[in-house]
Amino acid sequence: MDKAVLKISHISKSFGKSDILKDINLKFYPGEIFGLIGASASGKTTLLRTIIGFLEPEKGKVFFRKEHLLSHENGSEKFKEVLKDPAGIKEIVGFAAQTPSFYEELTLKENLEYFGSLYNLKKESIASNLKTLLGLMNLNDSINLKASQLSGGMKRRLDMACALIHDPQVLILDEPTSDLDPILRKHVWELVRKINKKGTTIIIASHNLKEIEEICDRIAIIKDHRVLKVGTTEEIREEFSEAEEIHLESFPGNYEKIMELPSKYRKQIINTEQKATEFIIYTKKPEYILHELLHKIEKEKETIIQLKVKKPDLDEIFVSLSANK
Amino acid sequence: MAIKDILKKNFKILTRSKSSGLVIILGPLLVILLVGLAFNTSSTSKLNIGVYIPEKTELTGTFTDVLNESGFGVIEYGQQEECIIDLKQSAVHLCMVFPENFVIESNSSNEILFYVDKSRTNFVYTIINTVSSKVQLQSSELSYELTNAVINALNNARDINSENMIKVIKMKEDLSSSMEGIESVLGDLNDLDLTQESVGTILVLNYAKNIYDYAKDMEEVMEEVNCDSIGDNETKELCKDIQDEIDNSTLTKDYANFTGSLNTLEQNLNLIKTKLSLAEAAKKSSVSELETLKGKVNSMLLSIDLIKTETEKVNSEIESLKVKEAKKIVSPITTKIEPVSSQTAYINYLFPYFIILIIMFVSILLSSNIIVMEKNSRAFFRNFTTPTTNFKFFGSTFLTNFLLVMTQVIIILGIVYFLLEMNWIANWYIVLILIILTITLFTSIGMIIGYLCSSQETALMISLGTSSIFLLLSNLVMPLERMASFIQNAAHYNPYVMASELLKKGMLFSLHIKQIYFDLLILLAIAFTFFILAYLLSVISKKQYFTGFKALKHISNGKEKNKIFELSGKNIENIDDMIDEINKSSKKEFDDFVEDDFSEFSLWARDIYKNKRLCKMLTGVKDKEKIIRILEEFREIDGKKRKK
Repeated sequence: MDKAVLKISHISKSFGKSDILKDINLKFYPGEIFGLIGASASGKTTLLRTIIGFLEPEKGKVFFRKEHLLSHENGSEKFKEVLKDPAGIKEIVGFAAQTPSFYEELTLKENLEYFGSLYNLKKESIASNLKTLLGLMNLNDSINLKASQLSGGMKRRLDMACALIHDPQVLILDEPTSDLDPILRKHVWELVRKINKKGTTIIIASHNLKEIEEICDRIAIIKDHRVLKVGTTEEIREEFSEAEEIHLESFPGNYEKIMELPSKYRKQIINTEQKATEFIIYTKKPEYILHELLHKIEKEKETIIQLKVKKPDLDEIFVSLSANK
Repeated sequence: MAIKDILKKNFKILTRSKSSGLVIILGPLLVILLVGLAFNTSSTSKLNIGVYIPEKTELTGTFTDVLNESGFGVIEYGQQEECIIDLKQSAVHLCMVFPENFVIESNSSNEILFYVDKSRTNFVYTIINTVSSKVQLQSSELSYELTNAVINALNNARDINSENMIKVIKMKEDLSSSMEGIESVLGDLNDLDLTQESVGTILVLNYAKNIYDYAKDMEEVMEEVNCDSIGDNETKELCKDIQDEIDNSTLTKDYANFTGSLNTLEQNLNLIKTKLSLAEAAKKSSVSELETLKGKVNSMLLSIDLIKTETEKVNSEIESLKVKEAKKIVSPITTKIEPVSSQTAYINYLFPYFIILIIMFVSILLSSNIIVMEKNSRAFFRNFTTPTTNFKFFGSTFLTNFLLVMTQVIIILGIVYFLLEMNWIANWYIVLILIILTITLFTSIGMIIGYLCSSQETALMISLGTSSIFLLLSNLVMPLERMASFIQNAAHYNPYVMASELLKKGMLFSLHIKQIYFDLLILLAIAFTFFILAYLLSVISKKQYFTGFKALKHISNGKEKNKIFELSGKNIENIDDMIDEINKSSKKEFDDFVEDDFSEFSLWARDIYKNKRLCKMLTGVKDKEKIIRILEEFREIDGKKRKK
């Protein structure tokens, strides 16, 4: 039985002669946090906009299912096509774009009430949801402030509150932490977790892959306008980690000398890179290299400040994938 | 429900900005107040007339007085050139140059020269007409006076003629009578016989001698008779008496006396004869003179007849003149301007044009502005994430504009009804229909402009441009009749012209709806068409918003031979230009290039600048400063490489 709340089936979308999405297939399940990662122009935003019905794909369909039908035995039969029920998808999805979207001239409360009314909610429902959201977003003290008077972080929270005013099953966040400082980013992710804990499915598109890696249950990598891989962070890491990394930081840091290794070792090195005072060696056999490397460091009378071996994180995998175009 | 909330939100946003609130609510009221104050008069506009009078006369004084009394500002100049210079500098609207010796005389030149500034095309003819009409009026009055004098002279002549005619008739009668007298005298004279018959004095003398002789004989006889012998006593007595008588007779003496008298008589007769001869000569002369006189009298009679006939003819011609009043001769055809409506002040006539003008400007500007504001608003996107339909948003925006403009119009109509006493209530339903149609039409046009424009500046310019075109192609600025015929034909379908003309018919002439229904239907059709067009554009605009027009343009061009990357209208091909353009770009412009999937700057580096490394460096970077920094660094590195 298909439990997905949203289902993307063979979506293709192009603008002019440029293909933006090619045969995308994805499913989003209730209560999960789903991450969409991809380079600029990979089609993430287009995909999100297609999901909610803003854009019409040339091929394929997007389906959704309302909450009360999720446990239906013939679940797959009860999917509705987004383009055939554009109002339906908007009732179950909340969307927060890269740029906060609300009226700067209205107060926080007025914004929430206004957007609540656009979902045809009763006044009582709006008031109830508003109260919950203000608490959740920690915006109670700013209720009567004009949106233009809010700080960056508060604006982001207000935007998310606007997206959640109708208590949607799915919350789509497109680059939710762009332009935010690290502290605000942390707050946003905490908020996302809180929202998710309430049972809301969250779909996030972000460039901040480290954060995605930390928060998302599942991830889809989009490359060349296609979904390259869908899976958990570990699954992806396993699949795309071609090499492990030896991070070396030594003093005086004469890395050229250190790297004058015998050819049998050099053959095992895929790539090297110097980042500031740190030297990184990419290899499939770190233990083999490490042995000779330590020997060489000792020989060159270098003092080791830091030496570690790690698997590449999602960010690095992503960069690596992007570079291999 | 949603519509009510959208309306509420729109009003809040509009009124939250105090300046825009003032402009929206008070702007039109201020305009109508100014217009009302400016045009709420029936007097001539204050025009300054420059006057150059080389020689002042009573007549020039009359003209300047008339101009002054007519409300013109009359400025007298000492030099014609000064007046013309002031005309060029718009200090005066017209220069009037009077001729020297400006008097009403047959040999004087009375041409008044007008200098006008034809560059003021909309006004020059009004000035000429206004001043000319005043001058013409004065000229007509002078003509009237002159003609009146002529007419009076004619009437006097006719009266004198009539009086003289009686005298002539009398004279003719007298002459005729004289003629008769002459003829009678002539007849008498002719009848007078002054021929000298010869008187036979000798014969008388002979007879007298014979009688004397007989008497002598008788005396001698008697003396011989013996009376005594006569027996009869009586006869004897008688005989004796006779003899006594004879004895006592003075026959010889008498005879001598007789002959003496007869000689004297003869002498006297001769004298008479002489006198008669003289009389005969005088008679002949008199007859001749009388004949001459008769001829002259006859000639005089003929002349008098002729004078009479001619005088009668003159009188008859004077009588036969159909128009004898100087006023009618000067202006045989007069015009009387009778307004078809009872309104008096200019504002009353111009009000339909002004109210539509206000509706047009406010509707177009306001609706285009609201649409662009909404489009550029951060919340524009969120609205579409809700189940509220596009038509509801469109309808709500339309209603916001409609209600705002309608409120203003109602306030204005209230003001003009109570303060300017303009009675539009009489035909209120037509006024209402027209105002609703007009607001719908111009709001739709404004919304179309709003959907087509991406910035408020562009929308404002296009809105003002569109409104100005509508205004320019109307009667308010320049009469349509002065324009080219095809423009005239097109201008009849100008929504502003249609609406204002219909409103004028409804408000001023109180025409019934049946009389204007055809034009009303055309206006309705136009309004409906624009409304539908505006809605279609709202749908297209929404689609374009999600597809990203600029990005679409870039991508579709990206694969063509001539690749284009425009940030603020300039095609960028090198790093220097890119840095400049990014620096110059507004936040909105910049955000358009970093918001969506296409990562415009990295794509530019890849497709146009053809540098994969720069593309990689720019990938995912959305901060303006960072992008500029990367570009500057790259420029430096690239420069060094090239030097090497």
